[in-house]
Amino acid sequence: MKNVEKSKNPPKKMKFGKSVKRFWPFYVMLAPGIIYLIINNYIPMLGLVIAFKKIDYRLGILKSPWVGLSNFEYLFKTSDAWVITRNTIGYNLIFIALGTVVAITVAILLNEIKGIRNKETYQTLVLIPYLISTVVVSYLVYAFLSTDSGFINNSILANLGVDTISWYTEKKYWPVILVIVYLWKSFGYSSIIYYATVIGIDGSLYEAAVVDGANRWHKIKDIILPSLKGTIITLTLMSVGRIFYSDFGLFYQVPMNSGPLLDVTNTIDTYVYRGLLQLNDVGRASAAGFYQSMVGFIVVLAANLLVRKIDKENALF
Amino acid sequence: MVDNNKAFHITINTLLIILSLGCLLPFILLLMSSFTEESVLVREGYSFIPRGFSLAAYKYIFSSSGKILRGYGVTILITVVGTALSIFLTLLMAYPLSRKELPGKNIISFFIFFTMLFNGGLVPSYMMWSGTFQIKDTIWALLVPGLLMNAFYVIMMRSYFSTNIPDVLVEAARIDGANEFKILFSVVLPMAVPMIATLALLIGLGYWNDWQNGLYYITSRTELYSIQNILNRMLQDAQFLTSGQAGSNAAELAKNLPSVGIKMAVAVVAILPIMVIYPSMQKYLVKGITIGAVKG
Amino acid sequence: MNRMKKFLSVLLVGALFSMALTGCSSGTSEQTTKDSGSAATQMDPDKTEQDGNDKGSGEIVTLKVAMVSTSDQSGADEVEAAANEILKEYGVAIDITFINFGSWQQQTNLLLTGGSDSVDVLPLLTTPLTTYVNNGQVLELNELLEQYGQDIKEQFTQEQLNGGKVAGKLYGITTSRDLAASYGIYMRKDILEETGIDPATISKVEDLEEVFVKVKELHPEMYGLFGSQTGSVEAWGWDRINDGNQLGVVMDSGQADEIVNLYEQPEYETFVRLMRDWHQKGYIMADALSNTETSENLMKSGKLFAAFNNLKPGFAEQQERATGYEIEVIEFIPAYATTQNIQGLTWGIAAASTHPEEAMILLNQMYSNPELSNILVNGIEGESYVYIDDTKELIDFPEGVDAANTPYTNLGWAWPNQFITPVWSPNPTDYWDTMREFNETATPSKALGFAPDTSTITNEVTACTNVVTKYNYALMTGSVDVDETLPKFQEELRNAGIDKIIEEKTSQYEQWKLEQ
Repeated sequence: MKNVEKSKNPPKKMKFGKSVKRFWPFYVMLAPGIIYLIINNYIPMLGLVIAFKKIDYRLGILKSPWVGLSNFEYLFKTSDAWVITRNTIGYNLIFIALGTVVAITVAILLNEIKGIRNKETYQTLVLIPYLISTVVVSYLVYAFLSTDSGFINNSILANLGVDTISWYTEKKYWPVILVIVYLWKSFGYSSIIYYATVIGIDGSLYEAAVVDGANRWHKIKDIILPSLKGTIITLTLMSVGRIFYSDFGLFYQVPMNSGPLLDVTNTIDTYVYRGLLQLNDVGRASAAGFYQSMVGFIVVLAANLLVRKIDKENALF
Repeated sequence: MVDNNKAFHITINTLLIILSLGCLLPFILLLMSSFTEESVLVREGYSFIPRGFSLAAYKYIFSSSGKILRGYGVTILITVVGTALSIFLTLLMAYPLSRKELPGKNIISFFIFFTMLFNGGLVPSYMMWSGTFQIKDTIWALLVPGLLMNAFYVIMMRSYFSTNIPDVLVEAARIDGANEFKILFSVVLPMAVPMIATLALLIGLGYWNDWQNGLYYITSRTELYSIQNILNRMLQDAQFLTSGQAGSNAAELAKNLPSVGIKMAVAVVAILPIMVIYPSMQKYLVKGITIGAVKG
Repeated sequence: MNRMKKFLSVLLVGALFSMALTGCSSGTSEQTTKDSGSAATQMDPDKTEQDGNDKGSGEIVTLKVAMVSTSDQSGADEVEAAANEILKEYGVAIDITFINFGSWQQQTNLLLTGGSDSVDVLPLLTTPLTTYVNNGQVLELNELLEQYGQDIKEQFTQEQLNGGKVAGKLYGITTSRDLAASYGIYMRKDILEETGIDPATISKVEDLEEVFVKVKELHPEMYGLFGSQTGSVEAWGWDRINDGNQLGVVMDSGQADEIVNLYEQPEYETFVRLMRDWHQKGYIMADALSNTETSENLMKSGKLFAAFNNLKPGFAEQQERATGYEIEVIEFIPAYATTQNIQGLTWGIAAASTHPEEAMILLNQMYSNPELSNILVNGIEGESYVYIDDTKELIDFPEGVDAANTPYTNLGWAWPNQFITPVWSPNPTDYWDTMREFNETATPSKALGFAPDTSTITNEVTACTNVVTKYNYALMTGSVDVDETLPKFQEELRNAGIDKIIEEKTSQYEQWKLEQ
């Protein structure tokens, strides 16, 4: 036994020296980025202590008193705690699932289109929604859903002989509305990422498949989708890490901050914003961010472990 | 076979046309509204059919044309420089991490990814950048905070390298005696053009659309405002002047200010340059296809 | 492999820590020197006076001033230079940073974190004064005011000065503007005349109904009554004790004795039932709840007949200029003054300021020096304004200048004292006197000067705020059914802890009353 151990150790030591010798260019390459991340992300991260303190600017951040977990209480001591958590997670899961499907579909469609001009045109057009800020999107949605002058009430429902709907006070329609708006705004952007991977697929793979007698559907199923697997997993894992965050513009501005809709549009972010707007409480705001990050972190670790078990290469880390 | 092909192509073209229209039409609505007279807009809402043509909103925006031009200049500068620097840094990080045999690869990947999860918030960032690094009111304030490198793009690029760059090519180059830097720039980079072009677009968009850095860090050197900041401020001014808070002598002005039209016009002015530039950038994406095909 | 991992992680952690130490320590040392500076001078009056004398003998202290504004202040540098000419003899100079309205809250928050770019003197608005005080961002002013601000005291009544107190200590000094409000409705005079109804017959809100009936007949394409979230009726005859969410109010224009839950009062229910009725009858715009247009905008486009609003002297004339139509104003609730009116906008000194005495000297001049105030409020004569009468009481834009292209925008109500500056035509020459009278004849609320400290009930406040957002505007604009919604509203408020809030505010109120 001892002999075996002894013979294990020296190779390791040599490996270390050799590793450095062989890999130093890589570490040099990594250095600038790591330094930037330390400065831009990690040092300010120390500011997360604000979540556990009662900040008094006269004393400064370091000297302000610790208050334990009391800054977190407001997130849970409300009857809305369940609602906002459910909304945030629920919408995110739908967004991840549907968003991925739509983006991949569009990417594949783009790939199949013949003609470079056509490709370019479609690509430019589908990116437009992403470029429009959510405030303006909320005006556009209002142009559709306004009770007396909106497109839907005036032009569609009126012609069908259906009563006008007061969209902004009826909450049952909004989960669907928000999902549609989200997909509309983001599918162009997401499809670009998948598209880049799709067009990078080695052409010879297709040729080989054709020789084997594959038709178009097989091409998609057996070549493209598997090639996208890595990208899909990566993007999904990253989205999962942000599962407790939500797009403020989408959930606050698009529903026009309408009270009756709050049960289906209130997320953790909007709840914090509404609650702290007047109070300007840095500690509580920071606590909310910390809570969201912590949960996302745990979820992503778990998801990553799962992915590692199934397909080690494609795990995030 | 031929029929099948035709049917298929008609289907996918139809699908894409519908999607594209869904994206384009709202923008046209915006565009038409920005050219509509203010009182018509308020009375009747937005519409595709122009009623009461008016350039008032655009006149208001471009009345300070000097500022706008400078704003575009600043934005273009930081977008080009920022994107170039960012892509460079991202490449440098993605390549080593895509090498399976690199010791510590997983820790470093985690280290990078972790930044996507935890954020200290605005106050600590602000205190650091303006206090310790003193970048306030300098061009660096627009280039560095938050945008210069992003874990998301590093991971995307790394993923792409792992999937699309065959290890045999890298090995072959190593055997030929090339050092890692040479491999990165001569072997890997040409094969990664589609992803690089894509990320350049996304990062470029990030710089173009950013208004936060300008808002927090530029307070006295107003010539450094990006176009987004200038447009934002115009909007806020218009809102303020029509809000009744501006006092009695602004009431007269408020009467003539096309505030709704301005919101639309601002949105158009912010988007239009990108829609013009983007098609020409796509050539690089397309180039990637041909290079990839040849190499393959 | 494991060794390698360990080595790297130690390296990373070490790098992190060293960076952190260097980064943070410079921050703290800055803080401590600043704090010891201001604390020392505050505590030791003898030393302060000595320092003041020394500084006055030649060395000019530059103070950073933040000010809210519109974007294009091309004349800002000249104004600063002219102001500094006057301030020279007092040993101070100013460096003004103009901040856009939309970014004000965010930017001032950052400027008050105590870094090297911190401001010294600034107006305190949008964020409540109590919040600034709780965060330790502003300085207590009692002693400084006594020593260096005697002229300020002459500009206001004791009550108006008391309005800037939090927990009995002075933190903000209000500005010269309308410090009270009355409430009523303004409408298009021409259309009112069409209906044939005499405005003198309208004395209660309910009386308006017959007007709306007629207006709907005559002009079905117009909205009768305005509605929106930001334009909602607030503080409509009650004192909301400095709380935008009205969690605990004093009814009857502040004359009632206790703090009660507004949303359970009969007055509230009556009002929202009326609004709901009007909404269903089509008098209130259908999308009131999601409306983002201002009443002025809608009216000037010919889409709106009337809107509830806060009133003040000269309001009708102001709205006429804003909408282009002749305006009829009817008042329903006579003027009363609450803490909110006064504390909503005050000037204060940042806690991180290294020159608090000079800051107060500066404020003293800003409040009492007509020449300085005129420059700050109106800009440079001949460029942003000209006198149009011999007695130099009225001013107007110079030839070719208007509110859009003026090099310096007038924000008189935001500067310390516009009452000592000339009046803008077309307002009458006695405009300031009328305003002063309005302020002083308004009924003061019994709770005037009381600003509750909510730091012990923040959780309940947050929860209740969300509930109020959910229901209040919807009810106030008549957008939802009252029988269904009001009970839910009241119940959710109770669950969120409204009673605890009112209990806490009441006990603070009783305490405050004893100290008066």
